[in-house]
Amino acid sequence: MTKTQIEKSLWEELESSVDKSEALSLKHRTYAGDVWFRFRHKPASFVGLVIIFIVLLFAIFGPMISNHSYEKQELSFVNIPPRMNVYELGKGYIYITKNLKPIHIGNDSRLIKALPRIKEDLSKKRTSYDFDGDVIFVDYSSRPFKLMSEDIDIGKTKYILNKTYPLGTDKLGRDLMTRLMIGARISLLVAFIAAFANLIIGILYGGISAYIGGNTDNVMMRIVDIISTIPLTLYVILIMVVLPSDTGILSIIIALGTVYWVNMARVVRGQILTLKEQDYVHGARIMGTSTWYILTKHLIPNAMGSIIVTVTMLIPQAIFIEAFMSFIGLGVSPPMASWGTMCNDALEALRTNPYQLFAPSLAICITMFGFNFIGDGLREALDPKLKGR
Amino acid sequence: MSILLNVNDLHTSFHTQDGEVKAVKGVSFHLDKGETLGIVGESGSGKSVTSLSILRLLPPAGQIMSGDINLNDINLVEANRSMLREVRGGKVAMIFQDPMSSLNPLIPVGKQVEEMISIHEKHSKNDLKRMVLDLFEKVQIPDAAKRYKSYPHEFSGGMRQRVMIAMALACKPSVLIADEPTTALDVTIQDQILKLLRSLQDEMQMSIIFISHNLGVVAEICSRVMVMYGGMVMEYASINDIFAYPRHPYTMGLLKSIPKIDQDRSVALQSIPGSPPDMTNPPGGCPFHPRCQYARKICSMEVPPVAAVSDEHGSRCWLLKEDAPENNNPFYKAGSTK
Amino acid sequence: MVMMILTLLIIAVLVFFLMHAIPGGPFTAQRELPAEVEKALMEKYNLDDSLPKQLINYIGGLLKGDLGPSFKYPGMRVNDFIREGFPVSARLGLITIIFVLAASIPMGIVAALKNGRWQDVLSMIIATIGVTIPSFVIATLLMYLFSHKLGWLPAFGFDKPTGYILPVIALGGYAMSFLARLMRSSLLEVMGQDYIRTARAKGLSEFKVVVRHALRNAMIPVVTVLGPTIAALLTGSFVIEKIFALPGMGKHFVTSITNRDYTTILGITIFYATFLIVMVFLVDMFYLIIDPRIKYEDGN
Repeated sequence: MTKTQIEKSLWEELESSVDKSEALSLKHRTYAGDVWFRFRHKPASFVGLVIIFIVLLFAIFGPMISNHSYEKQELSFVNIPPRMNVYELGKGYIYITKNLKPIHIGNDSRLIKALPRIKEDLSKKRTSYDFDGDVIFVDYSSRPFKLMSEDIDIGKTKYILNKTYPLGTDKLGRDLMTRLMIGARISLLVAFIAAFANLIIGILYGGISAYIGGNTDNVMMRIVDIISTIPLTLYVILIMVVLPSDTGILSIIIALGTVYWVNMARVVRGQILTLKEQDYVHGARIMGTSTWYILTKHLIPNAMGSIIVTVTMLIPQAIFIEAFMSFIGLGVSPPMASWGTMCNDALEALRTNPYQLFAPSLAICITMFGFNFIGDGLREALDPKLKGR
Repeated sequence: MSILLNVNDLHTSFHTQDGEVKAVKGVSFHLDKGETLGIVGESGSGKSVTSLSILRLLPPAGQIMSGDINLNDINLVEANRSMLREVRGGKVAMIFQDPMSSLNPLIPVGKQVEEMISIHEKHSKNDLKRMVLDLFEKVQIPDAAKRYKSYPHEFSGGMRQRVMIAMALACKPSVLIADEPTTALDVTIQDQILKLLRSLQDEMQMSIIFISHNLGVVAEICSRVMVMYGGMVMEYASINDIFAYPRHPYTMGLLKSIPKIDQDRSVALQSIPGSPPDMTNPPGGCPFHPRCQYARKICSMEVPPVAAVSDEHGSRCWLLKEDAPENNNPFYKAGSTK
Repeated sequence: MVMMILTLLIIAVLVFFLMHAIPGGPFTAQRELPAEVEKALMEKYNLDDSLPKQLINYIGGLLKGDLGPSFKYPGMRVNDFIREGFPVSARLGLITIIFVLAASIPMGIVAALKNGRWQDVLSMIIATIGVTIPSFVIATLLMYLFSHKLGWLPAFGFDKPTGYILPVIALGGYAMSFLARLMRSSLLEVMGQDYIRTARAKGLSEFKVVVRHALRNAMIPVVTVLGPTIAALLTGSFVIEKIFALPGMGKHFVTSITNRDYTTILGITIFYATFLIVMVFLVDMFYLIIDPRIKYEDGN
């Protein structure tokens, strides 16, 4: 035991600090405010939000500012890549297409026109073209083919970026950038509407099943089980096959929107089953509140958390299924473009024109990443176990 | 009286995203052969963490920062993996609060108890089974042969805890650490388990560390008691001394809050105002001072040293110092303390 | 068991009615047929019988294993397509499942045990990519990179053993990533359980703790999800077979969709449905074996 004296003043009594010890240590935030706080402080989810915002801008405003049409075919400019290997001539550049047709490109890297052909010389294996008065030859006698001219000095080749068609053109000469933007519109539109339809159906089905409970609940869930035994994709295929194909987007929206609600129904039912046993629901019942009111004002808002997370995952799923359908030939019909149909079209010419695949693929990937990050972020932000930071 | 287990100035912390949380801040005690030591405290007092530290069973974020833990001549803090594995279950066994979650739901209980034995000793399959059945009988599990093949979820809470006890005793350890073994059980079952532990202890000459938040339960089975708060030992004494002659405001508060069966119904139940400290941001000085009605300025500034009340009785309180003033001091003694 | 048969019956009836819901009838789609020919065809396919009678015929045929004729290829029956394509698809499917399990489970285990360290981070990055990027995007990109650009792997067909690599990775990518993440989170949760602490308190070595106690419990969610995983692999195979030109059932299915060969579409659908239901049933049986707690809930 120490023998040191303790200064007199230190023996003063402390004020009761019981109040201090009971102080809440958390800042005050509303539920939604809390969720938003945690969401935006997670880097991945914030990035996801930014990504989707950009994609939305792209889809909505892109086609308006583009000076190309998504469906207008330009047959002299088929399969032009975004980055062209061109010959430098005085008055501009010449790009030789895969079909050995020369295209005159201005010094500003914009495409001017395909050169008119003069004649085909099969013996010397070369074709002559009229280059604004001068004659140039495409010589295919040896590989690689050569561009020659008797008068003009043909410089070295170099790579330039395609300023007319920033992403290149497809097999019918349509601008890929504009088609990508339209594709964004279609893919996102289909996804959002389908997700929304599934949301409504799922909430109603699951909510009613859970609220009524008992045998009704059992039967309704059995039906859901039976439906989900087969992969839902098969249903979509069947529906698409049966609906007349000239309804275009509508048929795929119907097909997607009426099949994927089963998962949402399960989630909603699970949530409501738990919630309806809460005391405030019992209280509302005792007060005589109508079923509809309880369902819409008490139960569903509190289940919103899980619902929102599920919907956020429905959207990329819908994008995926739409692209999947396009791949097997059941997507939107031409000339409409969705990202899925663009990928499908690009497949045929993958070896020679790979760029046609990259643009829509990248678009799909980025969008899926965006939504998945948001979904993950939301799930974590809504997890009550992580509250209080 | 030989000392079996000695814990000296143990500091255990958890490394969390919010920084280092000091759960045990300088705890020292010893355990003699054949005795039962009780550790009492609220949630967050550090009692469980202390016991987990002994066998180094802390979760990944936990770490023993400093201190010594010695079992006879084995230094448990420094022991290598294989020595630690020998000690676990073999020399020091542990039972936990929730027997349902502490048993593997997919493996029959007989096999789980067998596993304990086969880790430390070599026996034939038949011998193992026989030994387990004997253990089941010893812990009074009826219908042992049938229960041997059962799964944990087929037992009631009290029976499961008996299985845990059987498992813990299988290799005849010299120390049994029981971390709130009766907290999750009904009061009547609680009583049975306590009686069982007492009889087993007598039979096997085993030392027990019994952890609880309930002083009353501890009184039934322990000869010595240690009261913890905020990661430190506030007071330690024999069980009689603690009840008759508490020398710490916290202990006094605990005792006052035990309702008595014959107390005046019109008098309100007493409790200690306030709540346990936030261990991520603990108060300075004595951890109990924010809730202590006798608190002084110095209590908020420095941690009080342990003052010896008698041979086996110590308490961490500034008011036990010789020069502590008289007003608002329950321990004031004219002249020097005993 | 009963559920299985009921489901199949409902699907068969549904499919049958869908077939008759096709607007305009099956023959008007393509060419104009002279009246007598059309009448003869209707007779041949029993389309002039009453609807209930057709249904009974159809179901009867199904029970005998006969899925009916192809509308587009006279002389071919749906069963022929299946017989041709199923072995190829089965091989693809089997190898993919083996790949998926062999890759995802160890990956998930390592990620969980080395939680927070580079093995965990790397595995999870791979898994996140695999779950987000659609299978056909992976397929086409891989094909471009390894086939066209680098020339290491063949782009089409199963002639050479290396021809399996790209399709299997593309098909199994999603499932592998999903299962790896599931395995990891499941094992992480199990390792935090009290009974793991008990196992350690007994003096078990860490290796045995993981193998004997943790793994068995952690595998349960993975097994639960195996049924739907197989279903997803099945639908994924349509696209993969098309991209890599593999002559499996998926390719026949896709072709029949393009051709609007209705009986084939519906016939293969029924086949798929049956196959899946049986598979899921088998997996559920397996699940019953490994988790003793379930027996007490079902009253089986």
